[in-house]
Amino acid sequence: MDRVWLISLVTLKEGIRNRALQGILIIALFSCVAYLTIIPMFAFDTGKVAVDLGFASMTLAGLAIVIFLGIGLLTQDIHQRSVCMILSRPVSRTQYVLGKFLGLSGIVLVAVLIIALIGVLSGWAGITFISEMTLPRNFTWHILGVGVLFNFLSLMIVMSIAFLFTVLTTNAYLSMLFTFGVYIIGQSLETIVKVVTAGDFARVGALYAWMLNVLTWIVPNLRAFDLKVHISYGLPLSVPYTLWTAAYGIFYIGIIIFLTAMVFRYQEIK
Amino acid sequence: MSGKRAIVSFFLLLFIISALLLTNSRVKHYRDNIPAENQRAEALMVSPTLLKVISGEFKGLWADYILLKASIFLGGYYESTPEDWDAIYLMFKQSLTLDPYFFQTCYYIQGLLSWREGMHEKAIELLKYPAQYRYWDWEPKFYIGFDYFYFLHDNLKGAHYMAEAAKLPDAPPIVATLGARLAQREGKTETAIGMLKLMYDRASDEKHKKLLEDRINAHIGILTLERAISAYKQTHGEIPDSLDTLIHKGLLKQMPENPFGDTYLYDAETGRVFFDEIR
Repeated sequence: MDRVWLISLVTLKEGIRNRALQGILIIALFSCVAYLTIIPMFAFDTGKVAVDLGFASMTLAGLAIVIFLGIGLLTQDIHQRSVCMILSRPVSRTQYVLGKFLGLSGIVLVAVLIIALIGVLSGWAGITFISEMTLPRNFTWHILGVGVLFNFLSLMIVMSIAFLFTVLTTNAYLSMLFTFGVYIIGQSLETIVKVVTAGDFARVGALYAWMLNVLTWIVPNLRAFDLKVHISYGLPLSVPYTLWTAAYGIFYIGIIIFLTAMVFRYQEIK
Repeated sequence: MSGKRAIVSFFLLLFIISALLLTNSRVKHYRDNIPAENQRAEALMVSPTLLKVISGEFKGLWADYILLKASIFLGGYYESTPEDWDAIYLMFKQSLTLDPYFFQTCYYIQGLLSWREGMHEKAIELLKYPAQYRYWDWEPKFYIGFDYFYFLHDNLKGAHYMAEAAKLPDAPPIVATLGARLAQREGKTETAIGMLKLMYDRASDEKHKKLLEDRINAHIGILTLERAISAYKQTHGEIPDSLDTLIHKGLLKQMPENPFGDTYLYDAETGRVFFDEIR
């Protein structure tokens, strides 16, 4: 476990050296400016607009880290053979994958927390200085906290998929393309299935509907981690739903990282 | 040589900056003077459902953007055409499909589609989304009820939505009283009484309670008179000439008390009873 911890620390430092955090701070400041300029254009539900902007910044920063930094660092290690240097020491390939994943998770967590903090501060400034700005209905800190945590968890799922594709293809561009594809499908599949099965908008054959249903067991349901509506409108959030969804996310990450480690273990590094 | 290069670079930069400022000022000039007929509302011509599918987790933000786009056009003092309003209707529909909870869209629909453009049916169709999703909010249901009553003269549907709105926690008393009046106009006096009783049970202010009590009593009086008129019609095959006939014929022992006037008002042509002049 010490070795995993060491690799994750090195990855975290590498990410910071890569100026990832500077980029995050720029996104955070941009979102802060966006709050204070866009929100006064709305007269109602301004808290909802703030939640939309804040979470959009969080997701964009997280995706940028996952897709560019995460995939970049991993392919760089494989292509420049710096991974061989690590693996020549008493470090297993599974420990390497786990360490890299935890290190990059740390960077994403820092990014999410910085943006959330700046979002909260901007919200406070907005409520103090902008008369139109109001808190969302039934606002509670714990629902906001769960929302941020779920956002982080969905980014972790995307990162685990990015790891799997990077190890499978060993090509940064292909990996980025596939990861982004899975992200889009994961975000829209639930809606597509609902639309298709409702039959109001499009009608499909039973086989196609069955295939879509099968896909929902393979592709992660990222929509389940989107709690923006609950935060924006104070909708009730049940504890069983929260726990089951969190557990689903953790187990999904677990299985993908396990597969990544399996593939990486038997992969020949040229 | 380096001095000469520096001078050339300086003048080149100066030229580029000047050219940029000049071209930008011309672009601004043309943009500011685009004829009104060229300023059209532009909706993305895709189905709202498809937009929801492709928006993913940014659907809330996308809804905000579409609404801002519509409001910028509407606030731009452009002359609008029926095609513009079709585009705006589509934008509102897209915005509501992406975020059916957003009250700002609901407010614009009522204020602009219904009041400004007279697209009442379309406004009602769209308002049904937030009315369903914003289950805690009386306003969308009130808007629908109001549109049915005021613009489409459908008191029955108006009363139905007013009654739904009146049941919600923060609904002001006017919703129930207006709903009761509409229901009574359509011969649904018992519904009107039920609606007022609901408000009475929830009211805490004594003054307000007294007002509601008077209204309930007025409607109970109307109900008594309506039942007597109905009995008279069954016996005589026609409605009575006046309310006093009901007493003369023994259908009523005495005239019910009207808390809002000396007596009840009666329309001898339709047989309808009112407790005040507002019909």
